[in-house]
Amino acid sequence: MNNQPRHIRNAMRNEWKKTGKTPIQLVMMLLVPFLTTMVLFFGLSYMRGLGDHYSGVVYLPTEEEMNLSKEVLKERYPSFSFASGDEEKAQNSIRSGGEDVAIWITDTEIRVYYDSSILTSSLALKESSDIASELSFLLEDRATYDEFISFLPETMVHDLSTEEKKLDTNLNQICSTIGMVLFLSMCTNAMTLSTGSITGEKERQTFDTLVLCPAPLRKILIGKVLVMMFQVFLSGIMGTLGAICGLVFWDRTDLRMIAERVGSDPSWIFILLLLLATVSLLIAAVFSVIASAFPQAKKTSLFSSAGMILISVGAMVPTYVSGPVLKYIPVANWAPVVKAACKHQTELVPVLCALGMTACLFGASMILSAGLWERSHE
Amino acid sequence: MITVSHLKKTFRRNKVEAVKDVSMEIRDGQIFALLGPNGAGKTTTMRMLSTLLLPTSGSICYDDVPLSEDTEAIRRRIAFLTNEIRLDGQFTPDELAEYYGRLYEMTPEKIAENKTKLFDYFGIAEFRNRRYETFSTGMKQKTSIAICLLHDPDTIIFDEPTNGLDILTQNLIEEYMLKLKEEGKCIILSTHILDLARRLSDRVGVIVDGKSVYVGEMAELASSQGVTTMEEAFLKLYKENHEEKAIVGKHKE
Amino acid sequence: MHGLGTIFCHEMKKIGKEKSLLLGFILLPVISLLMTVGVSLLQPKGGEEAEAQAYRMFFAGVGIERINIGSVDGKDVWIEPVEEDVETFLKSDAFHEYDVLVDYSDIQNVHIYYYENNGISAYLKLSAESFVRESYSSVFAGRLPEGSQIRTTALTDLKEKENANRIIAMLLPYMLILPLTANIANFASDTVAGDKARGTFYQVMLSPVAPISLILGKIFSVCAISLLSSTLYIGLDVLGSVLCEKFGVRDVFGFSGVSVSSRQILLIVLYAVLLCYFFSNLGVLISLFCKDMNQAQIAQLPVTLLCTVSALLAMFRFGISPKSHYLIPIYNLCLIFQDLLNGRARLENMIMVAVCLFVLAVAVMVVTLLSYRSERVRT
Repeated sequence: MNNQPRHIRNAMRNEWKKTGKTPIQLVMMLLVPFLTTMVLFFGLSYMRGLGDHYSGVVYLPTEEEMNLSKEVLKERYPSFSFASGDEEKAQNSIRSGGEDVAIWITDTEIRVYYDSSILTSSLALKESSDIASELSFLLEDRATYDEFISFLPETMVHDLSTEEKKLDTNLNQICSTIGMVLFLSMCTNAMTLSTGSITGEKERQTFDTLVLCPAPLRKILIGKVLVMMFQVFLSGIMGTLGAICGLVFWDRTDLRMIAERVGSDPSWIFILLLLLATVSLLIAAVFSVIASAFPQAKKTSLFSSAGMILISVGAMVPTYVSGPVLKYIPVANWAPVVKAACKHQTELVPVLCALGMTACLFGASMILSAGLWERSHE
Repeated sequence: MITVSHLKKTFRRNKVEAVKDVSMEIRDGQIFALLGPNGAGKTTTMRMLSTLLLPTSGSICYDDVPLSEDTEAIRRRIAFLTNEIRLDGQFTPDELAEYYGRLYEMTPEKIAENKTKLFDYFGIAEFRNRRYETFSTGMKQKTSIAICLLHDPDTIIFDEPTNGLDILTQNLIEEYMLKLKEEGKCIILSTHILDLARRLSDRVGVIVDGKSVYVGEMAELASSQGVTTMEEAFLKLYKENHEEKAIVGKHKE
Repeated sequence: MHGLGTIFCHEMKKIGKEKSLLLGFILLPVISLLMTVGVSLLQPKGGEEAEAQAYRMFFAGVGIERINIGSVDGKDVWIEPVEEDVETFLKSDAFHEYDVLVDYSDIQNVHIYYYENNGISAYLKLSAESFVRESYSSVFAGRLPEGSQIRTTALTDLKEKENANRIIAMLLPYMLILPLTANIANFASDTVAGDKARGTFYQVMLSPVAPISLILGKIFSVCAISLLSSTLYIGLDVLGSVLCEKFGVRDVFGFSGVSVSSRQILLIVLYAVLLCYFFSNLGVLISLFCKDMNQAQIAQLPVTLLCTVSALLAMFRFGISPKSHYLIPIYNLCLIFQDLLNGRARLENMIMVAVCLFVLAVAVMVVTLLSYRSERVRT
């Protein structure tokens, strides 16, 4: 009886040694998830900076008017360019996708063209209506324009949103996207690990040696899957660390907010680990079944890719569906629970429920994959 | 005829000097046996002879044409058979013959002719439509040999050809080597089985620690070392030329 | 180039002989397609504003009638007067997070209150700012001497049709790139590193086939497979759109109403070929340096991850991207793909992307051919 658990431990030790001797696997497990989420953060903060980016054009009837407008308005409206042209040019610049807004000026009217079917910066519309009203006075004469500018009242804009609300908006965007990429990198790791250690045994013909061992095959398999699960978990931690570093490097305000919120109570670390453990268990369950079903690495990888897509897109579910049930579903619970954890509103029960369910699934998948692994040997 | 002079190979990756100085001459219509202990540099030499590896220095000439000058033309004339070579398991011997024949730019008629000849000789004919992966070890090896020889090469390099085969298959392959020799082909046989070399080869080369320490007639090997048997000669050559430290960090073949 | 065709046919036959490989190969695009359809069926949920009946722009300190000024995201926007004190009103339940309040009490200092974190409120704030400005322009214009020719401003929306493709256009590149890179990584690893591990690579290396034919034969077979896979995905998607249109059902595939010129079709085909070629070649190049399939797959993971991250980032794109973005590999392709679905693709950008892909493809091919001389490949 005492001897039995030793097989699993032995298999696990062997798997760890194998990984330790494959530097590329270590890099993939530790460095790549870290860098991926960090790059994602860099991209996200860069894209957010582009939110107010747009390009507009003003078509004026004469060269003279064009030069005047350019001289007076260019500095105040840097996103606009000034050119001479007609109505057709203005419309074409919108239809061809060259500009977000185009302004065309006649003797009696200033026309702002845009296309509402495309997601355009709302700032573009605001500034084009501003520039239009300024142009209407500027084209009259310069003195009128100067008078108009001084006539305009001081507009004070007050943002009523609290830090917490802002955090909420940021978290909405960050959580599911990070989840998607994080799970993807965990899945890719699981794919290579499972093809290498489970399917690989058959392909390298080292499987026969295992069959000859007195240790039952299922124990060896459990050892392998446990190590795989732990490695996937590690890569998840590295990915999360990458996301946190991304916050440090590129989004200081968010970090300060999140750090202030969560720093006082480090229970979020525990929640995060629970979530990562849930995902790792699920990934290990899915990928071990796939890996033990096939004797060739290429087949395992192909079917694993399908699992990879399903799991990573699963992290996006909260963007489309809402409801308290989500917190009980593994993978889909990532975004709502992380969000809640950052706001100190975590409920432990749903997270544990999801973990429990995944553990049951893992158990079932172990039985199934042990059967499949032994079966294809015959 | 193949002339090898002062062949040297250092692997850049791990700085291992697998072959230090090998010179020999292999004549047409003869079987040349390359002997040496494990890790002596036999396989590396064979790989260089078969164009798979480029030598660091030294030269290999096929009928006075340097190997580096026209590799493709030389490849058409040689065949290299090693245990490492496998064929795609999904295909039948027929399909494989078709594929490799076309890679060697053979006409369909020529492929069919050579295929029939070789398949009949090695007894593959009745399995010609079965997948390669379903074959036994011996059948696989026989198919590999048949496919390797399909383009009718005039130089054949055998690297441990009979390893792991039963006595019947071994015998078949040995007989075929002798047949090839009669046809005037140049055969290089690398082995550590001295008995096999004694039975088949006309000339012999002994490599120890990457250096060729003896190249000459098979019959003169023992007498040249002042001993009575081939085994004694081999051991003597090994002891005289082996440096202890050379084993450390030896390139794994 | 002797032997190229033979190697290509052999590789294709090899794949054709594996039934489960073919099944998996069809499975990937089908799963991606189901995901795309699922996503377009589930519209993104709004937060609190989803429950709102209408959005409101409140005005304090000025006599104004309750009036509808248009709609945002299918919901009406109303202008409403505020009679009570601004401070108390802002704290009351009547003022929601998606509303905005303009306080005209002090005519020299107009105050606008809004919620930055709420997209609708932030949008209404911009409208309010415009509104304030316009009101002052008209007051100012009224004071100008008679005979002044003040031009009026007119906003013209050039939209031709309701854009149903926006959400799918955001997601499609991701759904295409992820299975594509995953598929190629598998096939490329198998065809080179797998062959090396099985020992079937040497026999071909020994044949008089030129290295370029051998490598290209392998690359082309991987390329053909990936082309087929992506064509299958796009083809099924387009077919779905056509069927939806035919039966008058809401298009969940995202292609209905997309019109492309023949020049654009040519460029799209060119993209498909170049992209598949680029990925296949990259996969083969990486596999050349690996001793078995597992190692090759591991080495290709960063490529897959990086590509999916850039495709994912394209989802967060807003409005028209700067020209320089069309030079970022893979990301630019996602941009063009979205542009095509939104009917906004510019020929010059399309050409830029094609040139970018071509340069990449050539570069990777040169590196591959140079690498083939390497000892690591041969041992």
